[in-house]
Amino acid sequence: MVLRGMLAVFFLLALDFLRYRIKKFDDWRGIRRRYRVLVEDLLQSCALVSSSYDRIQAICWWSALVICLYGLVVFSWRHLIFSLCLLVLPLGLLAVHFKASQKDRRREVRFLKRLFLLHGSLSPVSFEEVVSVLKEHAVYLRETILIIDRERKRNNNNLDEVYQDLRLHARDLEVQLFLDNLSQADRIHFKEGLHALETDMEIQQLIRTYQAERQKQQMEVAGIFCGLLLSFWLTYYLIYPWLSANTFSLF
Amino acid sequence: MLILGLYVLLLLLVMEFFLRDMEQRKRMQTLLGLQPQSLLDKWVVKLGAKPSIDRWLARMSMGFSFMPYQRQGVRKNQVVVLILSLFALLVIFFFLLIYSQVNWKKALISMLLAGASGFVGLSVMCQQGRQRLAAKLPQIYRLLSSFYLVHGDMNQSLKRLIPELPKNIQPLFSTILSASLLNDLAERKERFLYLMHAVNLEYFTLLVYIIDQAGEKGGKKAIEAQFVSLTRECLLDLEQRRQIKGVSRGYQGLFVLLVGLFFMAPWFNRSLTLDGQQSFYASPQHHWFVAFFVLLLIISFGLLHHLERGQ
Repeated sequence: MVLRGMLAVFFLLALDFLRYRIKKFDDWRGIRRRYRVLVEDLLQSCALVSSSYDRIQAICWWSALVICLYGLVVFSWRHLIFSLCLLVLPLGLLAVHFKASQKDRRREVRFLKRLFLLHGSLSPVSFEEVVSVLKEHAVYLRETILIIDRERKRNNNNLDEVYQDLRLHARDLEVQLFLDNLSQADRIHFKEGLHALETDMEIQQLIRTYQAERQKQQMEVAGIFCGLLLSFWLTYYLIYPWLSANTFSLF
Repeated sequence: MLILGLYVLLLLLVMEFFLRDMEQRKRMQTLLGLQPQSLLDKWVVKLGAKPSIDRWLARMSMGFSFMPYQRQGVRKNQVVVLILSLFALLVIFFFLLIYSQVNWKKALISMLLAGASGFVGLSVMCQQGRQRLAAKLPQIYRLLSSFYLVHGDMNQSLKRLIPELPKNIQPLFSTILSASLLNDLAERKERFLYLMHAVNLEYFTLLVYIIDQAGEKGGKKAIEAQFVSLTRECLLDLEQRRQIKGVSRGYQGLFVLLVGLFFMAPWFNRSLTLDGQQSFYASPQHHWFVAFFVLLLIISFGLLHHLERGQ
C-alpha cells in the first residue's frame, strides 16, 4: 500500500515537472490553441455543432480525470489506460467522422462546382447570385460559403486573405481547389474562374471514369476472395464431422 | 368482462365527443368560407413547424410518390397516417405478447425490433422510389432539351413533356410547371427550392435550376449547351453507378446462396452420418463454426458495401 502511494506521488510529481517544462518554453498555450484550431476545423468540415462536441469532451475529460485518480489510488494500470483512452476519445471519434464523411464532402464539392458552372454560364450573372445559390445547397461547406458571403457584404478589401485563411483551415484537397477557383472568379475575373472550373471538372470526369473502372476491378477481386473464403469455410464445416469420425493416414 | 365492456363504452363516448366537436368545427369553417381542416391537418401543420421534421416528411412523401403503383402522389398527411398506424400496430403487437404470457422485457425488445424493421422497410421503399426517378432523369433531360429546341419556350416544353412521362412522375412535373408559370419570382424560387430539398437528387436539382434559368433569363444556345453537358454527365454517372451496383449485387447474391448452403449442411450430414456424430451439432464447436461464418459474412458484405460507395 505504501509502495503504491509512493508511486502515485512520483507519478504526480512527474506530471507536474512535465507541465513546468512545457510552461517554461511557453509552448503549452500554443499546443492548446493548435488543438482547439484542429477541433474547430474538423467540426466545420464535418458540419457539426461545436457546443455538442464541447459537452461530450467535458464529460469524457472529467470522467478520465476521476478514473485516473481512482487508478492512482488503487494503482490499477487498467484504469490509467482506460482514462487515457477516454482523454483522446472525442478527438478520435471526430477524426473518424471526418474520414468517413470525406466521400460525401467531395461529392458535395462536385455538386457545388456543377451548380457554379450552370449558373455562371447563363448570363447576365453576378458572383453574389451564384454564392446565394451555393448557400442554399451546401451542407459541409455551408459555413465557408457563409463566411465568403459575409465578407463580401462587408466590402472587405482583403478578400485574398479571407480565401487563404479558409483554404488553410479546409484540411481537404478538393475543398482547397474549389476555394481557389472561387477566389479566382471572385477577385480576378469571373469568366476566367469559370473557365478554370470547367477545365477542372472535365479532368475530374476523366479521372472518375478511370476510378470507376478500378473500383469495379477491386470489387471483383474482393468478391472472389470473400466468396472463396466463405466456400472454404462451408466445405470445412460440411466435412468436419466426417474428418473427426475417421482417422486418415497416408502410410 | 363487464369492466372491459364499460371501458370500451367509455372509449366510444370520448371518441364520439371528439368527433362531434370536429364535425361542428368543420361545419363552422365551411360556413365562414374557410378550407375545412381535420385534426390530422392540424397535427401535420404543428409537426411541420420544425424545419427538420417538415423536410423529412416531404422527403418521405416524395419517395413514396415515385413507386410504380402510385398515380396521384402521396401527401404528408398520408405519411403521418402510415407512421401512426405502424406505431398503433406495434403497440397492439406488444400487448398481444404480454397477453400471451411473454416476459415484458422480451415483449418490449420484440416491439422495438419490429418497429426498427418497419422503419427500415419504409426508408428502403422511399429510397427505391427516388432511384426510380433517378433512373428516368437522363431520358427526361433528353426529351426536355429536344422540346426546348423545337419550341424555344420552357413552359411549352414542359407541357409537351408531361404526357410522355410515367404516371408516377407526372404530378411532380405538373407541380414544376405550375410553379414556373407563377409571376412572383420569390414564390417561384421558394417552391422550386422546396421541391429540390424534398426530392434531394443532384441531377433533379440541376434540372430544376435549368428550367428556372430558362424561364428567367432565356438564351437558347447557352441552355442547350448546359442540357447537352448535363445529359452526358448524368448518363455517364448513372451508368457507372448501375454497373458498380450490379457487380456488388452479383457477389452479394452469391454470398446469400452460400448462407443457404451453410444452413443446409447439418441437414445433409444428419441424413448420412452415424448417430454418434449427431452430438457435433449440439456442441460448442458447432457454435464457433457458425459464429466465424457469420463474422466472415459480415466482413464480406461490409467490404463490398464500402467499395460500392467508392469515389
